[in-house]
Amino acid sequence: MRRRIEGFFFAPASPVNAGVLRIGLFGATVWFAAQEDTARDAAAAAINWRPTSFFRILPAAPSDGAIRAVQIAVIVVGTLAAIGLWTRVTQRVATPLAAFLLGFDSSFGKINHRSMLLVLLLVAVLPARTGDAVSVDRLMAVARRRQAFAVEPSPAYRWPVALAQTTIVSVYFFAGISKLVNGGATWFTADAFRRFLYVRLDQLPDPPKAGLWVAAHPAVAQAAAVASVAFELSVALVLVYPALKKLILPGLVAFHESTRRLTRINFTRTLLVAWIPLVDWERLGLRVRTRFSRPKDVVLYDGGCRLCRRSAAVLATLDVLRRLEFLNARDAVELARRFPQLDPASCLKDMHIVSGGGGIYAGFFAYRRLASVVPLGWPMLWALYVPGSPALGKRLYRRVADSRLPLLHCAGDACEVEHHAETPVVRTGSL
Amino acid sequence: MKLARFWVVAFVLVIATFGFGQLEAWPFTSWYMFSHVEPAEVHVAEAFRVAPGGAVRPLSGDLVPLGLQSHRLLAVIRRDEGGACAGLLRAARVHGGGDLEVRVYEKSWRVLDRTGDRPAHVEKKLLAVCR
Repeated sequence: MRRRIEGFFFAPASPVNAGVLRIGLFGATVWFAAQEDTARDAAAAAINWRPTSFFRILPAAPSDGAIRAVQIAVIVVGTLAAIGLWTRVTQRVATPLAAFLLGFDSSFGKINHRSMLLVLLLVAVLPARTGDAVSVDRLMAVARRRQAFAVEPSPAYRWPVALAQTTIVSVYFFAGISKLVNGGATWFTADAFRRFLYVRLDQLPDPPKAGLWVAAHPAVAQAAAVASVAFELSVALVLVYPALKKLILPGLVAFHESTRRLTRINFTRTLLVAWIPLVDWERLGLRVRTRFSRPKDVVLYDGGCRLCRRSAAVLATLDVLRRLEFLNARDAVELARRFPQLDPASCLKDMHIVSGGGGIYAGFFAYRRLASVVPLGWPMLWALYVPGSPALGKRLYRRVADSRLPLLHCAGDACEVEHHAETPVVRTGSL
Repeated sequence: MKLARFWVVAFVLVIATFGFGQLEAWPFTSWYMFSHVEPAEVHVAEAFRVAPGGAVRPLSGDLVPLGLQSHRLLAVIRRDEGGACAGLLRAARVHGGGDLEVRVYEKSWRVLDRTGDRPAHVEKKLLAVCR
């Protein structure tokens, strides 16, 4: 048992899921923070300030200006944490700010249940290393080394995900336990569930028909009562039997969505946040990669140029679908063997890509090809096809490409090759 | 990894303590949600604003924090009528202007006594007048 728990929390893992967890949690933080109506919160605080939890340390209800300042800080720092820039600092700064902003409306006489799970998870992973993958920090590390590299699996990447999963199932589990303790057997009677529904529906100006229908049918109401507690308690089983996620994940959607449709009690935020650590994103990515695998494009880069090596290393890291292969264009033998149709001199002058289908792209068109292959380029792909953009792109590319030549100590077509010219771009790295 | 192990153990212990102990300190909360069986007869409070001219209108839920609505308002007004009244008057005046009065009514009904989709009978009595 102890070994099993040890393995669950501290088995070495790749940093990918911890990185996706960071993106999901801070992405949700920024999204929720942007939705906060600070003026309304400040007005509510002025009307009924009843501080709860850590808000009791405040001497008085904060002003709209103060809450808005925190909101802006959460959005800015949370965005940096989500993209993984200076992650160790931004994660630790964004978490307490988010706890303040998203928990603030629990101090007006009613506890806010919508955002508690998100803040609980932010606190759970507060000291974790989540910026070692799928982050700007990782890209910067790759650019500094000018070489894509793999991050070794470590327990440091497993425990944040495991603790987040434990926290989520605990919230559902203890909600189920509370019903057993506080409601007892009565909670499972048809009338108890009908009362639960009617109390809420009777106070709505336009109660949902589905809720009224369930409340009017005792057998259905009783089945719903039993099913909801059974589900809450069974969520914990995913920690022991991960295969059950196939049932529990859609079950969460059904559970919260039916609650919303029956009573208009909206826990969509909780649902979204609960999915983030429970999904094995790395495995999912691998499946997508396998499912959509195609012949690789070969990127020919100038291995004698620091900037080109750095760019190639960053590209290799961004290539999450593994659609690219890198070949040093200065490797004349290999170049001639694989692509005899290419002129080695022009490969050094401009970046070239040979697509899996045999198409040759150079300069601006090579970059446009990259944008279609690397997912990070997809959002801007349309701009590269707008009429006029190829002409502008070619001029821009020419200027940048030519400006690197003086840096290479080139004279005419002959360039001074750096000592690390043959350093290959390692293909084992991941974003 | 020592710190990580300590953190994991401490966090799990805190969650378990709050969960099994039914303790509340946001964000360690929500365990009790919907866990109590609703009584056969429900009692809630509802606030109405009275304009100087005498027009009576419900104090809209948009103007009043959730802590001063429904069963929570009933609990607050029983515990701290002065504080609840002050809050309701502030809400009414912020949004309405002028001298206003707020009346709080207690509404009660037996939830399972129905006429179609509606409660068969809702009783309403004046609970407080806030000036």
